[in-house]
Amino acid sequence: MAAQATALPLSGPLRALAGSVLVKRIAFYLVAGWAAITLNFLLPRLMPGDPASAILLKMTELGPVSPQREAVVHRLFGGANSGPLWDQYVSYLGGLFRGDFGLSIAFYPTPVTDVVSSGFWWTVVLVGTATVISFVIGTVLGAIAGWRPGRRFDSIASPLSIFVHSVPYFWIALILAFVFAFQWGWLPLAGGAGRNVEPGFTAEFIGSALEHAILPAATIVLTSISGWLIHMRNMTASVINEDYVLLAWAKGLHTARVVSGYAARNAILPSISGFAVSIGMVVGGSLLTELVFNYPGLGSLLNQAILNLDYPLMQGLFLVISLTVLVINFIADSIYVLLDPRTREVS
Amino acid sequence: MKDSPVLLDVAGLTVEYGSGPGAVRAVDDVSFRLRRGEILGVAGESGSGKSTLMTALTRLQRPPARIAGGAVTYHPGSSDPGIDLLAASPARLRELRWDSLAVVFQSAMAALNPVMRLGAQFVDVIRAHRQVGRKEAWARAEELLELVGIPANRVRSYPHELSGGMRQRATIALALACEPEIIVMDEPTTAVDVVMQRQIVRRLMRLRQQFGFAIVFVTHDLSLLVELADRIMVMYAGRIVELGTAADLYHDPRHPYSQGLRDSFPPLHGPLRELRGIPGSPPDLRALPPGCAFQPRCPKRQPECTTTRPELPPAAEHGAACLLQQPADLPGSKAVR
Repeated sequence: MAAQATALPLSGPLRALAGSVLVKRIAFYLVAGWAAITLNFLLPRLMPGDPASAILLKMTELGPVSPQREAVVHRLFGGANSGPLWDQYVSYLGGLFRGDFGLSIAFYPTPVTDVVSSGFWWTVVLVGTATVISFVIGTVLGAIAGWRPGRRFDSIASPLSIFVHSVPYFWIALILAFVFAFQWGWLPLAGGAGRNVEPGFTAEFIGSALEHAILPAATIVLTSISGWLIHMRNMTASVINEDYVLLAWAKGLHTARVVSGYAARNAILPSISGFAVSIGMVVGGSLLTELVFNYPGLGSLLNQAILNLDYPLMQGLFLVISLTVLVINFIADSIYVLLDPRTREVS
Repeated sequence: MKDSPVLLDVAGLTVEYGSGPGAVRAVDDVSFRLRRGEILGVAGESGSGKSTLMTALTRLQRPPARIAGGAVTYHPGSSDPGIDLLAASPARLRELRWDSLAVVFQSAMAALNPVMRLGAQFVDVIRAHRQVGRKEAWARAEELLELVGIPANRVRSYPHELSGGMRQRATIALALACEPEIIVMDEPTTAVDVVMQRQIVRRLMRLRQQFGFAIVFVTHDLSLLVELADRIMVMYAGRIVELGTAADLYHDPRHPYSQGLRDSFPPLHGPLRELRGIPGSPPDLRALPPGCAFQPRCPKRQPECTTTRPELPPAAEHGAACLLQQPADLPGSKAVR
């Protein structure tokens, strides 16, 4: 019995995951994914006017348009001379599974898939890393501030982070760019890596990319750290007054154990859900930060797409963003259930 | 019980909220002795300082509460000089907690960690105080749960999966984990229904027989204490107003406040009495009335009650802090204002 008990803490959550609960959750996300894809199909068709004709007009300005390319545009955006809606939908889905989103107009004649994947990793690495760093630092500092509310650290850190929180982040980006790149010239002003560095898995490229990432990453970390800090500070300050934390002290446990098993362990739960949401938002890019530093990520691409009325690129970006949000939320949901037993559904 | 050795000696314990001239004295110069294996009941209305007293005994008070004076001496062995809990180092205190002095809180839902399995909350405290393996500790947790009538397989449940009564019994089982000599209980039966309350009390009595721990039982329910406790201490406005055996308190309450408390509950056994409430409301601790704190509500108030603060007769078996209980010529000499 005892041996069973010690072995079970691992298998319990797994058991909760397996079976119908997991299946239900997967089904939910599949439906949500289908809804996102379908909305992406419907939106250009609901737009006033005829986006397909507009796109084709632009394409003819940029170069000759073959009949196949014309067909792709009609498949993605409908248009006057395309077939019934249902047939359009079926061929749209078919094209989707082949990864065919047509040609970008802003980067004519590069396929949308290539354009999106060129920006994808820049954004994921930059914004993803910055989000993780700011979450970790903000949460740790918030826990320290909330552990002894009203003490010196709290009375400096909390008002300061509210101040930083209210500063627009593109303004911080401009200040950083002006001081560190323009005035002092310590770090590169713009771009993802040096122009004459060949992209690849080489030390030179990675070094250059890191150097270029410091300022945009610092912008994101500086401006988002305060949100995590305030959140964790308030949660910690209220959790340490809970009876179970008092009981943990009464049990004569070591401070480290009281923090890790009782106080911070409970206080961090809402931050974890917030973190899952922001990780999902990573692919959306940090639009203004990427613009200020001319960073070759998805945010810059989205900006280009909007400026050039590049509907195919917009459609591709929206689809990638919404599907990534869904995938990340699915993962976060599954992990959260392991962390908070109260959210486990009974199968 | 009267002759068993003193286990906990509380002398002049004073707890204040805040400091300086604005401080509120929630526990004022409280002294009592807890004997080995004894159940000492602490009764009083909300705001009487009974919960503050309980947290101060275990040094669990949280800011702005602070212990302003007094001593709490724990005597592990009869010949031992005793350990002052209020002066003990954090490390010493950590060793003593739960090992000698365990706590049961009022709200069992809030007292159990929602993200830990029930068993794990036993295991961490057992392993913090005893050199046992993980397996053994889990087995011990199962044993303890069965002791309070919870099936052993519930050891793997989370607190939210248990009923209210189960959770309350689980916190009592938890208190027994290291076989402490003293268990301080703060209204452990308030959150459960009357049937469960009886069950818990009966089980508590049986466990006390089995393990011989002493209990400080804090509640507003005097009739429950009359059944359960060996001695009862009645608190009002942070002070002890009466101390005596349960039978004394029930049959012969000497302080008008204790009389009021007794008469405001229906007796569990015996003929029905007319129920009476205590008029008025608990005093504002920031502005206590002059003289006896109870005098504005007291049906037997005398003129000198508003000028003289009555003291609890020291070392009496049954005594009340009331001028009516003291020789007529004494009060004048003790005027405080």
